[in-house]
Amino acid sequence: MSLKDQSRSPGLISTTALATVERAINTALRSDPATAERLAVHAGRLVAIEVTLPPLAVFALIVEDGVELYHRSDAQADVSVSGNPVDLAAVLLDWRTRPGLIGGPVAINGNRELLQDLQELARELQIDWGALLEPITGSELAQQLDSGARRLFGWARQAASRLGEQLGDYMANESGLTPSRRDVYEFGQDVDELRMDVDRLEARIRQLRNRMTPTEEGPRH
Amino acid sequence: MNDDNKVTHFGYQQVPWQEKQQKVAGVFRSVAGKYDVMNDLISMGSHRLLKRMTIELAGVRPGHKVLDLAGGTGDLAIKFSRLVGENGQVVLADINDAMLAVGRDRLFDAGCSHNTQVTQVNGECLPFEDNSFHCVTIAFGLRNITDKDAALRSMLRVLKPGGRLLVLEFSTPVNKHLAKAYDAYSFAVWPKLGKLIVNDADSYQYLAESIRMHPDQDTLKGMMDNAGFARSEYFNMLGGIVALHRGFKF
Repeated sequence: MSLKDQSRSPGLISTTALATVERAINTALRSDPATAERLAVHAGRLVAIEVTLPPLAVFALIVEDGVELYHRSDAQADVSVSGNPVDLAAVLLDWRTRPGLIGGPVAINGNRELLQDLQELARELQIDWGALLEPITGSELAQQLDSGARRLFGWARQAASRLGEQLGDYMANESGLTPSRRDVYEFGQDVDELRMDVDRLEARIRQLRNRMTPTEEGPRH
Repeated sequence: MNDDNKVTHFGYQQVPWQEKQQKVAGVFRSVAGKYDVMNDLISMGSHRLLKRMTIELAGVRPGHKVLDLAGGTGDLAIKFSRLVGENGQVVLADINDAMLAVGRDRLFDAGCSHNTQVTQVNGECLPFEDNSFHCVTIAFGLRNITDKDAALRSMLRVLKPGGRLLVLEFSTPVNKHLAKAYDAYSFAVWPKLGKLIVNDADSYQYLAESIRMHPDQDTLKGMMDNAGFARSEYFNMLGGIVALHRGFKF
């Protein structure tokens, strides 16, 4: 992180927001000990998440009992992920959206295996809403709320995936604003072909130049 | 004036220079057991956010050695322990044995004993070698030290070149209306909460008074400059009720 960034005054609102997210994640982990145990294997690892628009960096340090989130870190991240919020959500939370739907791709640097493990843990995290609510509501109501919350969150996740797919279809097929998967694939093939042609041409020119060089300079006597 | 006649402030009282340390020790022995609860109550939880900001500006990395001076119950030390990792080290230091006992237990409970040390020290003459630490922090502690200039020089001495000091401390609100509201809240509410929670109103009366006797933002920055810190700066938090000062050793 640059010196300029380090000199910025820390913001109370953004710190509060980050602390709230951290608390929510750790509360969820406490209600799912199996996932928490699997996450603890990665204790000490640092994950950097950089949102391009609005520009925002979050560093997640995995610790024995959960995660700690920071806005800045001087440490080298084990894996860093950057992209726009929708693409990042698609990668990190496994939303199914069309490639190039909203913005550019997600850039991943560092330990990809760690990222895959974390994606899997995020997908499998089962929040025990009943255990969280029981002290407030009593066990019977908590169970009902737990089952309702699971249905609600399951529906929300499916709805997000469906919305992503439908929006992708509309953008690609109806409005023509974004290319379809096939268009992107064919464009990629064309670019590859062109690159190989250029490489071959460059090699041919090099070969011809090598052949010409002894003749032009000629032996010196 | 020789040392025997020197006086300093203890809240709004003038006391002999040598007595302040004992009086402050008495305050913290009295409140140590409920220190965290009281901090949450009087700051309405905001002290946790302020400490989080301090950690973010500390620039601590794996392998670093950190001194958390006046570290009390170990809020910062626990976080630093996780940031410095297996190869780093954190020293939780405080002049007060009662506070250290609470801090040591919290470090053990948080699983941080492998890379932390707990040491009773006087901040004015730190018992560490020159150039030992990458970072020194003192959160809500400098106010209670009798000879602040000596303490700042001592902190500079133990920092490695390139290392940084962070001082998180109550300061002077920048807005006069906020200052009035804050005065009313701290003098009226804190002693009553102290009486209610720890059966000690005087310690929280001292807290409110000591804040008003503490140097303001620019004065403390000047003291850091005089002690030899480079690039000293401060960040106002909560409208200047608290300020975070940072300085580097080059």
